[in-house]
Amino acid sequence: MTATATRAGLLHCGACGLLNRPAPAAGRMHCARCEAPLDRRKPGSVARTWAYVVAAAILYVPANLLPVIHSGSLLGKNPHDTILGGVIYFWTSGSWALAIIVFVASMVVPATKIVVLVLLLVTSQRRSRWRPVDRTRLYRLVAYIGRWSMVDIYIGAISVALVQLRPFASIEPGPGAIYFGAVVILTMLASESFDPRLIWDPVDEKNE
Amino acid sequence: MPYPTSPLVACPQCDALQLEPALVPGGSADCVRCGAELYRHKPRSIDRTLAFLLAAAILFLFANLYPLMEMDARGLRSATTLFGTVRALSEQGMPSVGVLVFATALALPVLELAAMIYMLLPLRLGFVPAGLRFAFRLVERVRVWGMVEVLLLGALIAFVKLNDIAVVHPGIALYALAGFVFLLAAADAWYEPRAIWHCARELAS
Repeated sequence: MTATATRAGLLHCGACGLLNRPAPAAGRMHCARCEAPLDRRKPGSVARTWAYVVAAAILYVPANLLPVIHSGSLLGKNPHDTILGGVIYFWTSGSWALAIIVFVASMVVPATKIVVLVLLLVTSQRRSRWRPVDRTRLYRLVAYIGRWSMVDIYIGAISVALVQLRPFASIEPGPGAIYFGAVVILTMLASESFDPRLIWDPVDEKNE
Repeated sequence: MPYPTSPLVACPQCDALQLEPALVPGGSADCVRCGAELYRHKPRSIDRTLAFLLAAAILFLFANLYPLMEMDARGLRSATTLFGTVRALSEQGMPSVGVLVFATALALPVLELAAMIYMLLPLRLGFVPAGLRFAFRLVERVRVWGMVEVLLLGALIAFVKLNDIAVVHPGIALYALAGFVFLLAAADAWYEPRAIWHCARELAS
């Protein structure tokens, strides 16, 4: 049996890490050291994470189907303007390393985050005691990788600002960029609002 | 108010309660149950973090004042700064994406840098700054949303990609950005909240 802060009646500060002994007074408590609000678990963690994950999953579709940029030149429209189109462009032009980076960061990472967070949400709602260490590792993975999806937004932003060589060539932002940016932000909000200690609560209650 | 301490720590990821072990310099303590890193012993944390932050602040200035890259297509030239990308997105009908780039690549990294210097410089000079706790919580909240390292990767990929269209020259800001990313990562690696509270307690007593 593992001793936990919850069982000992202590509150861990999410900002500075101090263990606080809660005062008997009612109301929301604040950390004695850094004054951050104290909660036993992140408030509304499951509901919030679900909301962000569902929204991200819906927007993932237009983010990938709509063009992120519109590139035009004297030679006409470029077909490689969606995310996958950009990956294919890098691949066929011989930059396979860049193709892999963009494919992983823009398509694999958001999809993985959504799938893993759904798995974590479902298992903690069902109060599963299945492989808590591995599920915590999965959480650490999705919390870390999410930010790298922004890379496509930055590539687009720089391309749009730099390629203004009218009438020969120009790149303009496409509607997919908004959806794509929203997916990145929503998946990051989702992993921020999920509380990994929910994975461990059923394990600890079983041992009680 | 005194800064309380406790010989116990709880894992932020699995709630397991454990004794704080004494660490050898450079050592780290991982949670006994789920393996999350609880903390790391960082000698002279405040000095080192502050040194990297101040150097990073100088480079960030260069990263914003000079062009990131310049393009030359048979006499047609164009160049863009970091803020130029935000302006271009807004002017071409995507202000929301412009705001996203502005926040994650410019505003929030500056805020994080400024708040960290605001905490650490006074502590180094021997006094506790007003609003230390507020600045600390601000840094904790903002840090996830600053993405300059991702911006650097994006700039490098854009550089390769756009070289297919025309000749692209790296600007001073691209080098400055690369240096900034490494210095900020170094500052982050030496940053240790325990050192801040310890220092503030010593100064207050």
